[in-house]
Amino acid sequence: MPFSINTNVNAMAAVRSLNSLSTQMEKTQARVETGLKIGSAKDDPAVFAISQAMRADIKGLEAVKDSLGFGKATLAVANNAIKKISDELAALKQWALQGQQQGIDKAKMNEQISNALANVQTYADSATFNGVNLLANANVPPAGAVDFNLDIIKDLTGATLSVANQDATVQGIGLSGLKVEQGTMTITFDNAIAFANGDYVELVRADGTSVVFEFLDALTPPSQVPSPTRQVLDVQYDSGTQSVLDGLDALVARIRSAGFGATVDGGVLTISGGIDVVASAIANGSTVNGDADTDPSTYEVLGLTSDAAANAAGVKYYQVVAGTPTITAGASFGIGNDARAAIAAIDGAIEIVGTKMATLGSANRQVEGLQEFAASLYDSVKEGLGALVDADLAAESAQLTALQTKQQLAVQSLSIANQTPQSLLKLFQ
Amino acid sequence: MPIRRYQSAQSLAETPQEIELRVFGAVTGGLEAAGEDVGRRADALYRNLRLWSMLQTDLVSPGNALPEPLKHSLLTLARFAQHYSYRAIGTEVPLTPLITINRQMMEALSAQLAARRVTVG
Repeated sequence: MPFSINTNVNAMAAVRSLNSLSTQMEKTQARVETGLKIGSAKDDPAVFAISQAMRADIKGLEAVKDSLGFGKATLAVANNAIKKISDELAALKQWALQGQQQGIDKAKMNEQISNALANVQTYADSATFNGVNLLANANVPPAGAVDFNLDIIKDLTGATLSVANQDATVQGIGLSGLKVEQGTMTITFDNAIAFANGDYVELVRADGTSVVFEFLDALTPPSQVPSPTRQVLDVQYDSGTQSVLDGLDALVARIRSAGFGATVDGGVLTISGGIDVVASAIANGSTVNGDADTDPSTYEVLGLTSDAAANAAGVKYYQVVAGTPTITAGASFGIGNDARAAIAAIDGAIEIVGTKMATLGSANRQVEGLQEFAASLYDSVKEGLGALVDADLAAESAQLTALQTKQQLAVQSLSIANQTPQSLLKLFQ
Repeated sequence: MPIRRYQSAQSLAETPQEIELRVFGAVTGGLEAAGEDVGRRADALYRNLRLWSMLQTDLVSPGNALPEPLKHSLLTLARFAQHYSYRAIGTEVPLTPLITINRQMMEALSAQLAARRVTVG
């Protein structure tokens, strides 16, 4: 290039890419020629036509491909949203920690916390892909969501990979009505405490739904009866081999897994979640602010809140009911207001979200694992085509093929899907 | 449902090329507009995947009347487009290869329509 004074970087890059393009072009050309040779074989004019049996499978294959794509997209949307929720919780924890400092404007802090929770809710509610939302609460469906779990068809026999709902709404992660100063309820266990099979703690929400945490060893089935409004969870604990502290740890872990905040410190179990500043405890059999102690035979404390909305979703009271008298004999109850409870609740939420993230991540990996299978589906018609479809086309080669195809197609008088052109309109339905 | 009836009447009046052009236009527009939003990308890629899956199904049906070498190229593109779309869901890989391929198909279909108009007129 005699007229070039300066090195023209762009031109050099263009030449380089042209060189590589022509190499690619040759390669592509060779592949096409191979294809042509087979395609023009006179003794096999129907080389592209698929066998009768395969034709029957085609619709099924399309359904599987469709389902795999749908599943991957739904999981991508859910994974993206739960990552954002996890980030939001990290910020939330920071604010709650700052909220413990003296001289901090609590009202401002609470506003920030409530904004963060609104974000969490929005992320969960808007993680909808074509009507499926894995992060929303099925009982409080956000607009546009109709399904809350995912079934991916993974082969022609109709076998499915199922992904259960991972409720990551504010309620689902136990943070309804979170405030810097969080009301708590405590159960203090003394030295006489022992846990036996069938002992349970029941947390009752203001909406009447409840969760039972029942101590059971590996061989014992639950004695408590679940219902649509009463969930029964096992606390795996073997009094023969484990200490009472092991039992408490197992209880705390289980309570957290159900979306409540819980911590244990020196035999004091603190439960939070949806409780604003607690006004008072209710003595057995008495009534405060219209909330009555419902069952005088059980130990019961009402968590009173000044926030009706939080109360509706949060813990109203807890009951400790003993299958045997072991729990009640060694436990006493209390209430408190504590900034640390907010942090405990957030820690609980972070743990729950972590578990849900791991579940979604593993589902995603499973779907990724089906990638090879999906790839083979794109070649599903290979048998009918001989080896004509190029397996792994680089993006650049695909561009060249597209260019050549354009030229060939432009001079035709037929569209691509010329057999059932109307079928493409399904995409708009 | 008058609107639906209008739509179906409209699609009956459309030539296969016009239908394909319209579908490619909507799907490709979605890919171009997806940006970095995970949900919009997933939606656009899923639609592209379905489009090429349907084209592939038609191409391998015995009644598809395109010449076989062209079918070969189109099936190769269908394979690439589906595989790339599937892999791209949930990632940040560029969507330009898919957009370019779709645009080429649209140009070819437009050329067919133009030639047709000349012939008719």
